[in-house]
Amino acid sequence: MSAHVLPIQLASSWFLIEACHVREVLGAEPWLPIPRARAELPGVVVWRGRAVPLVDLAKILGVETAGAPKRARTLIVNHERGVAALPVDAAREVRSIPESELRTTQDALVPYATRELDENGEIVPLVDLGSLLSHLDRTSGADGDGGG
Amino acid sequence: MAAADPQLKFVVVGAPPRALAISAESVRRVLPGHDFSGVALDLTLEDEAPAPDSSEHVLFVGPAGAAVALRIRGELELLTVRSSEVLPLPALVGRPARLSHVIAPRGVPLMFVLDLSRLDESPTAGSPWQARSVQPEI
Repeated sequence: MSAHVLPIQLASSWFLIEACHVREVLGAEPWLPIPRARAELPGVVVWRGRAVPLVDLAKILGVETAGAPKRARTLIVNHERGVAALPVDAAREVRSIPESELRTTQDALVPYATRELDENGEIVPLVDLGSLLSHLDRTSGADGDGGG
Repeated sequence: MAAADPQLKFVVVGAPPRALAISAESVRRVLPGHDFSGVALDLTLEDEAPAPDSSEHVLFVGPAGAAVALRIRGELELLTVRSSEVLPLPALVGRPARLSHVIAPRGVPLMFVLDLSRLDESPTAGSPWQARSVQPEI
C-alpha cells in the first residue's frame, strides 16, 4: 500500500499533506481580511464563485513567518464540512510513498503531524489535514454548516 | 435567454479592505452621531486609522420597532452590485464575525456584508463588534 502525498513548503520547512484533500493548486490569490479574526482563519478567498475560508497553515504549524499569509501558491482543499484555502510558498508533484516508510511521529513538535518521512536524515512531517480542519471547525463557534 | 441577474443595493461604511456593507433596504434611519444617545453596536475598529472625514453616524437597521443602532465613522456610500457578486460566507468564518456575505466583483473579494439577523446576539469571544453606550457631544 502507498500513500499519495503532496509536498508543500512553508518558509524553509517542508511538510506533506495527503493528496486526496487537494482540489486545486492556484497561484497567489487575493484575499480579504476579516475584522478582528482569529489568526488561524484570517480571511476569505473566492474560488469558483464561492467564498472559501483562508487557513493560515504556517501559523497553525508554528512556522516562523512575518505578518499576513501572502504566499506564492494557494491550495484549495476539501474537508468533511467544506472547502478551505491554504497559502503555501511552494508545492511539488504528488508522490507515492510506501506506507511502511511513513513512521509514527517520534515527538509532537509539529501540531497535527502523526506520521513522518525520513528522507536521508531530513524528517518531513505528514500533516493530518482532516484533523486540523475539523478542529478549526469545532472551535470556530460555527455550530452549523462548515467551511464552504 | 439567460435569466436576469437582479441588482442589490448596500450602504457602505468605510473604505476597502475594511469597508462593511449593510443591506440598504434594512436601513431605517441615519442620525448624526452627536444627535444620538443610547446603546449602539460599535462598528468602528479601534486599530483603524482615522478616516479623513472622521464624522460619526448612527444607523438604525432591522425591522421597525426592533431596529438595532449601529455606530459608524466616516461617510456613507451607496453601492449597487449584481446578486451573483454577493457570495454567502461559510459559517466557519462568517458566524463568529457576524458577517453573512462577501461582495466579490469579478471574483475578487472586496468587502463583507454585515449579518443583520445576528446583531442582537450576545457577543462571543470572536465577535468583532461590541455594544457601547453613546453619549451626545456637548
